[in-house]
Amino acid sequence: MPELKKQVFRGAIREVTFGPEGHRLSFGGEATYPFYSFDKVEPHRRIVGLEVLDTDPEFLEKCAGYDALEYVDFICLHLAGGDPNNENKSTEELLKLVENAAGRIKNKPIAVAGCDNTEKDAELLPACACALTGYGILLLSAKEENLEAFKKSAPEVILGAESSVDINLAKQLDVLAVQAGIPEDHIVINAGNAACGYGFEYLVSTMERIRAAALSQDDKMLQMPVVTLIGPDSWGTKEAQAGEEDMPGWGDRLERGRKMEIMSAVGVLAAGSDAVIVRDPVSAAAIFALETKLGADG
Amino acid sequence: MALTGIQIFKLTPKTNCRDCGCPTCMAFSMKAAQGKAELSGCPHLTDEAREKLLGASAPPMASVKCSSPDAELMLGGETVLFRHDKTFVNETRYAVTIDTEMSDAEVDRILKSAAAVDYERIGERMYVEMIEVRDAGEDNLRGINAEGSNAGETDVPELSLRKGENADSSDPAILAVSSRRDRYLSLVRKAAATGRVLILTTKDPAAAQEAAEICAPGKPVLNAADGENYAVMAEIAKKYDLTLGVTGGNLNEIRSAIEETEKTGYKNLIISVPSHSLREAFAMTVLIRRAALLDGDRTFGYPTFVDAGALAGGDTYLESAVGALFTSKYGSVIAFRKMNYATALPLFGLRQNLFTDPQKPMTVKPGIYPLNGADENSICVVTVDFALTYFIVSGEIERSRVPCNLCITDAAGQSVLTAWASGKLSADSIASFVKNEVAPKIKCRRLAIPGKVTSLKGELMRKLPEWEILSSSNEAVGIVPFLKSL
Ligand code: SF4
Repeated sequence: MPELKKQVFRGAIREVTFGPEGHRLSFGGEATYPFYSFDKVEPHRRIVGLEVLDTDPEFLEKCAGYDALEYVDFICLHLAGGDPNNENKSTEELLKLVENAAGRIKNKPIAVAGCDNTEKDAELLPACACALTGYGILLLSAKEENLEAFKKSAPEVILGAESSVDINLAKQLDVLAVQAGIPEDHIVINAGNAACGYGFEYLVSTMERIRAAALSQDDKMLQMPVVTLIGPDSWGTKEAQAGEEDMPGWGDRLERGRKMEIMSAVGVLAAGSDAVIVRDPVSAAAIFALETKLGADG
Repeated sequence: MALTGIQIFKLTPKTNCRDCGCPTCMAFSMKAAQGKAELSGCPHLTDEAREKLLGASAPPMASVKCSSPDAELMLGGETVLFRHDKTFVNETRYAVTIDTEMSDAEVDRILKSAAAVDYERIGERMYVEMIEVRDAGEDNLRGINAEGSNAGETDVPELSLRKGENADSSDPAILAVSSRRDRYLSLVRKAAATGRVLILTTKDPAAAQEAAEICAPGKPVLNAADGENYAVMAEIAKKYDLTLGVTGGNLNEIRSAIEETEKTGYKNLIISVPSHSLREAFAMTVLIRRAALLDGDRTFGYPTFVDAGALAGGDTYLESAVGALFTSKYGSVIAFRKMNYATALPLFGLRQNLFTDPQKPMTVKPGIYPLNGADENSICVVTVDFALTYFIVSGEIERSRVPCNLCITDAAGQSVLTAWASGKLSADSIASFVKNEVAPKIKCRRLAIPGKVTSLKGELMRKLPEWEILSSSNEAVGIVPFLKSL
């Protein structure tokens, strides 16, 4: 019987490393479609981050608690409260919070995500990079409009380049970032977010096309690993939000939110995302278990 | 995998007898290659040549049909590996599993929970289409889990599932088999009564045959034949026109089981992916699909059945993850142990998204959607039929709890700004929609338009003089404060 053919590509995804000394975390580096270790072994497991919102009253407690979870690879401080339409927290206030959080996170790399307000992020995020010098953070949410502001943080941090859900825009932003002098292995792609049922097909097809271009066409400007923030979209859906009194047949709200988050995360992982950031530890555990079983003979 | 004219020509007798109506065999071959002539037009093709030609023109992956008296499902028939290449053909179907080792109460609970999942999402009925009835003891008897899973354990058959009063009066082994068969058939009856399409997982030919009778005139999936029992199972499948699940412990075993089964002349098959390891199951599912679609490997050109429940080992969250993985990558039927709304909502949403036409946006049907208990006296909010816009806007309106008639106008599935730019959303289109569709049904004369097309307000006021035209927020998040401020 003939052996089934392996798919071998010219291109490969870049390996990117972040985190403080002693807790460095590498991801990317693969030359196959996601989880296709039967074609070629993937050098790293796809990593799972846990999101903590600054607006969460238990922000610091969660940082410390998540730091101890073995199935979590890194912690993402999501500073949504900085948005003028949200709590409009000042940069100083958030910086203090971020520093306190970093003091509680002793064993894992840190990612910081902005508030989705381009102007505020331009001020807030580089300031966070400064405050966390030495932590080697992953700094999400640099967009085309505010890329300039992130330039000076570049050598120290890994920069998440966030575009709309579109392969050309993702590539254009990578090109701009490289032209701005950011080293290629300090850039990760954030090609947008979505939840299952809500335009998720655009996200999947965009990621699959990015991966196809990176591997089969050896497109250097699309060979950065992809990072996807799952929590906000998933937990914002009606499926996760609707109260049990409003939708009596739907059952436990927490279970609904977790499953929405898990399936959205797995959907993007299967399409090419190298890292996902989820909000609930149960979701992180399920994804970790899935990856462990996919990686090992279990 | 279409043949060229030359390739077809080589298989004709080259006699130019004109019986086909063409002047030469070459002319006939050219026409056939373009699909303008049927192969049956030439009465002189040898059977061998005909088979070759038919085989070469068949699609790379078979489409198989299964049914219950109430429903019919098509599986397989895919032509591409990625949805951006072309629309996927037949949606992944979901099953919930009941087995012979479960108590009646458990079986009833599972069936009830699955039956409760039944709703509509963007014009599609979402429900658990299939029920797998699994003869759990068979796994132990025959060791179909092969390679590894039961390594170290001896295969001790479960001998006393039901200790009958007459247990001492006959051979206990035979009694156990027949009592397990009774148990199995009672589950089949229960499952068949739901009207869903069944998957009969058993290696007991007698049970399979009786179960097929119970399901008739429905045509369930019979799962699964392997290298040992394919002949008898294929015979039953043939007799009742069932889709036959074929399995093996690894790709080699699966291939030879399919080849042997095909030799019996039965090709209505589905490949049952073994569940001993997630890593292996994923590799097999991908490799099978890839071999069929990329390499034209006909033996693997069948849909696949994946048991997410077994692969997840009882953890419902892991099961959700496994289910999403195989929905993304090439499971044609996926069985779950726990199927409730929490699982179904994201799962069906994922499937619906993945199986849409990559060239066309998803749309919702134009019309009036009353939200938060709206009636004819509630305000009208107009927006486009792009599904994503509908979901976001309706979600925000629901959050506001203000009764609204959400009026969806036909904008060719484009978002507000795109539709406005392309002329699909204009004062004209809104005015005629409101006059023809909304005004006859709604008494309220207040109409809110998306903030992004505020520029249409003046023209709309002229075109709809009885209406008060309001401009809503630019972004969906602004809808709640907008509605509350009214
Ligand atoms: S009928 Fe067949 S053999 Fe005769 S001319 Fe046509 S193709 Fe040739």
